[in-house]
Amino acid sequence: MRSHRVVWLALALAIEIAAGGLVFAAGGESVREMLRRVLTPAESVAKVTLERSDPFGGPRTRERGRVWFLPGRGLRYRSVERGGQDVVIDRAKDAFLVYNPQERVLYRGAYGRAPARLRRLIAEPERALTGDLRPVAERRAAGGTLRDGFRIGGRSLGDSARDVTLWIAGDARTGLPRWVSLASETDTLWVEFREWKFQKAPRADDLATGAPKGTREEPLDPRELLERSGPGAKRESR
Amino acid sequence: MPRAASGSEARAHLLATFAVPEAGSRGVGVVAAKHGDRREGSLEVRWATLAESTVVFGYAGPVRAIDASMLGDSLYVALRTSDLGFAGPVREREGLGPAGLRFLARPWDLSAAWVKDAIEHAAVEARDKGWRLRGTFASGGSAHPFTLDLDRRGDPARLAVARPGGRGERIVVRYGPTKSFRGGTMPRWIEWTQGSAVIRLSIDEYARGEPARFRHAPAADPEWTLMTLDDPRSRDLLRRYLGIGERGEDP
Repeated sequence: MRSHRVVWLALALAIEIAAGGLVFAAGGESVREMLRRVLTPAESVAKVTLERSDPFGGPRTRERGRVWFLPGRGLRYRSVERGGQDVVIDRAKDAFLVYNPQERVLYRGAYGRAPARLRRLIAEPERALTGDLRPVAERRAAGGTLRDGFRIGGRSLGDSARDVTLWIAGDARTGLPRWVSLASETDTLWVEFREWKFQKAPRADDLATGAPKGTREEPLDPRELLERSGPGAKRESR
Repeated sequence: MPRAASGSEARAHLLATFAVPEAGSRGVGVVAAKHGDRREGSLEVRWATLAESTVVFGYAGPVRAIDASMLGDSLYVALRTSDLGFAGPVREREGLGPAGLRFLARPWDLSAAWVKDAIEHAAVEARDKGWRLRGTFASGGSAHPFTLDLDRRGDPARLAVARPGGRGERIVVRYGPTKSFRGGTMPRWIEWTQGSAVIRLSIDEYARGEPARFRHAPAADPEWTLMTLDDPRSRDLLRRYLGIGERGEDP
């Protein structure tokens, strides 16, 4: 199974869904203010925990990681689980990178290959604060407790998250985004943001993957499989 | 581990343990693939089976990346993160045919009549570490010779299915040591080998399924690229993507 190609795309989708949820929840003023606080600093960093239900009633799974967001510049998600991936979208370097420590391969694509919603969020974060999707107040269980938040309708999520309903809630103490829930007919993904930190100046080094020097590189476009019979042109990271 | 007193006793143990039809089951595991010495990464999988239907969801981290289902003879695979899907019937005369593919997807389930019958009629001989069954699977319109190695007690250890006429091995399935899961006795892992491709499923959980929770894989999104399995290009791509054969080989 060429699962490496699946993995990077899945992680990109995970970021897109989570970030898309933040974007499209910007209908209510309280939500808008919550988002303004994380989208307007020069750099925002948070720990995240992703938890997913089992479609057949089995146990949930969890993954912990960290997210960096540099408005105008880029976005990074790094899993802190053993063998977890590192995904970077860097507009300034025209790069979309996924480092898979299990394979010791760095997958490289152009910035334009990153999901469109994420590119919009990076290039025009202010647009996230002007949307009006009229979220509906709803209380849901998250993190073992009922929490007040807002539900967003499925179709309003756009192309990459069809048939998904989204719910978002802020942290009662800090007012910062804390919980995002994405539910489909098959399963539900919960994203918890914790320990938000904000920098006064962007730190470009935060958009570097953890790939060691000399890591083998491969292109990350899976559709090349349609045209090519072997692995893509290879090179090493510098 | 007590050794079966005879080959017949080992076979009886095998059939009593693995040839009992399931009402429905679900499982959790990790699939890891490699080609030669090269690892190709891993996915967590969650699956459910009911009668002749099997649905598998593959996850990369928390995100569902692959949907796959085999409902009767119809196969559907969606690479969700690529907005790409494949669908179509498995041809009766391709490889082991649809029944054979269903069996190879769940090689611990020997309850299909044609599988059970082949095992019951197989010749049995002693070997150093257990027993060996030699027989023929009649599937996909052809006769496929097989050897099924059993351990001392009669649990499956290695299944090799040859091409019709014994022209080389089509696929080899290795079984890990058995474990008592909530849903019954199962190998701890299953490993499929075809050519240089090796795919291993490590089983973390196996339980009886709740029929109400069983659901087929969601339909493909209208905006995805959906390719028919009758298209040679899509078959070639799927083979290489899943690492289950080279160009021109049967899946």
